[in-house]
This record gives sequence, structure tokens and C-alpha cells, in this order.
Amino acid sequence: MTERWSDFDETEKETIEDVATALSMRESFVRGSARAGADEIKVVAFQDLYAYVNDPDAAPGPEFFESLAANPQMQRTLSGLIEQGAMCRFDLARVASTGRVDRREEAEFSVHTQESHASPGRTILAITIQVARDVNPRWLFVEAKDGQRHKHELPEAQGDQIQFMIPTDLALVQALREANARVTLR
Amino acid sequence: MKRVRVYIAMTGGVARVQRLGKEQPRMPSEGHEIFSCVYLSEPWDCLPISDAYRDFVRRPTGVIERMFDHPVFVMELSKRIVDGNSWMLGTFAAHALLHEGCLAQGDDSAAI
Repeated sequence: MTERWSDFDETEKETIEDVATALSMRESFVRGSARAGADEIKVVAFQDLYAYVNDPDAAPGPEFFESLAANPQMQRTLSGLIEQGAMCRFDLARVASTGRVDRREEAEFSVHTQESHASPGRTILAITIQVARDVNPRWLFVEAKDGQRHKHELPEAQGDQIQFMIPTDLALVQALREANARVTLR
Repeated sequence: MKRVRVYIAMTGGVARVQRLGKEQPRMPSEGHEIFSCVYLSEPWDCLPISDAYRDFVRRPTGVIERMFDHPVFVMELSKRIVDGNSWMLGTFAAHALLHEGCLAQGDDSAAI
């Protein structure tokens, strides 16, 4: 019988990780539901979390984020869902002399922000694809240091770049500029 | 100087050129190329003609860079243009007026 993690092949490891994640999510959902009855905290259903991550049309209202903010376990579940299918998670941020982050880099992708010269009040967001791939990311997820979450649908890549412009005062842009924000491409 | 506002006639109505400006061609930090694009002002949205506009601007296909010696622009329109080429003439006129410093933008009062 196999007893050590290193004895499993890659397929077996992936299967075990998927099962473990699913069990963890189920457990957090059950616990969250139980706590809701006792504390009157509204609980976000797992399918709502799943839809937020995977459904392009899902646009949850403020009650979704309020419930999420009150439930750390569900926040972890959501983070797990986002990271499960992630193409890249940016752990390192380079802080510019302005004190803001304008660049994040990982092996396969980098994200840059730059205020537009042509269009005041707008910020150019450019994602550079360092390693060519069959499928490019479709979503940008950002979790700000205060726990607020943002997602943005990405346009098609042009060559090795995904580029778009958004209003600088959007909470998404502010969050991207925080050194401690968690930025993920899916 | 008198300023001129540009409207682009389409089958579905008229789009006003709200803003047009030169963008820096590259990100200062890494030198990554910045693309030309066309946006709808309200709600803020990238228009599908952006790819064609990029080719319309940049060498070797683009006439704008050849004529006005800059490779990257951002244009904001008041109305959505989805496809077709009818936007090219008005867009060229807007670039020519910008080059001469007499394109009416935003809330500028326009003589014409």
C-alpha cells in the first residue's frame, strides 16, 4: 500500500487534492449553515460562491459581500475556489516610489498598471503573457487588504498582451495598487 | 482658435468624438507596448472596433502614424460603433484636427 505522498503519481496527487478541496468546502458550508442558525448570520450558499467564480453573468448584490465579510470560513472557501482553477496567483508586488504597486510579476504572467496620458482619470491595465499557451485567462480576481473582492472580465489577448482601460477611481484599481492585495488570473 | 467637433455618421445614428489623445507608446517600467483603443464614454466600455482602429493607426498598415507621427491614441465616442468601416473618415478628420490643435473635446465649445 502506498503510504508516502511522494509515492503517488501526478494524476493521483491531483485527484487527492480535488477530493480534499471538495471535502473542505462541504465541511465549511455545513459549519457555516449551523452557525447561521445560532448567530443569525446570513450564509452564502456554496452555489453562490461557485457562480461568483465561474459564471460570467453572476453579479452578486451587496448582501453577498456582507455575508461573506461576516464568515471567514466562507472567505477561505471562496479563495480556495478561485485558486483551484487559477492560471496564476501573484505573490510578489513591486512598490513604486509613489508607494503604490504598479507591477506584479510571476513566471508566466505580469500585470502592469499605468495612468493614461490621453484619457485623464483612466488607468491602462496590461497583462503580459510571458509563456504562450492555448487558453488565456478570462478573469482577474483581486482581494484587497480589507477583504473586499473584485473581479473583472478580461478582453481577448492581442499577441502576448491583454490590455484594457478602466476608470482610475474604480475600487478594483485601488485594490490592485495595494502591496498586500491578492491578485489572481483564472 | 476655432474648434471643430467631429461626429461620425453611422446607420444606427451619430457618434460624437468626445475625446482623442496621444497615449505613450510603451509602459515606462518595462517598455511593453501600449495599444490604441476606442472607448464608449458612458458606460465606460472598450468597443469592438478597437482592433481595426489599432491597425488604422499604427504602421505599417495605419495611416495615422504615417501622417501624424505618433503610434498610439485613445479615442472616446459618445455612441457604440460595432463594426464596418464608416468610422474611418470621421476618425481621420478628428486626428487631422487634433494635429492642428483645433479638435473640440469634452465640454469645449465648438464653432462648427
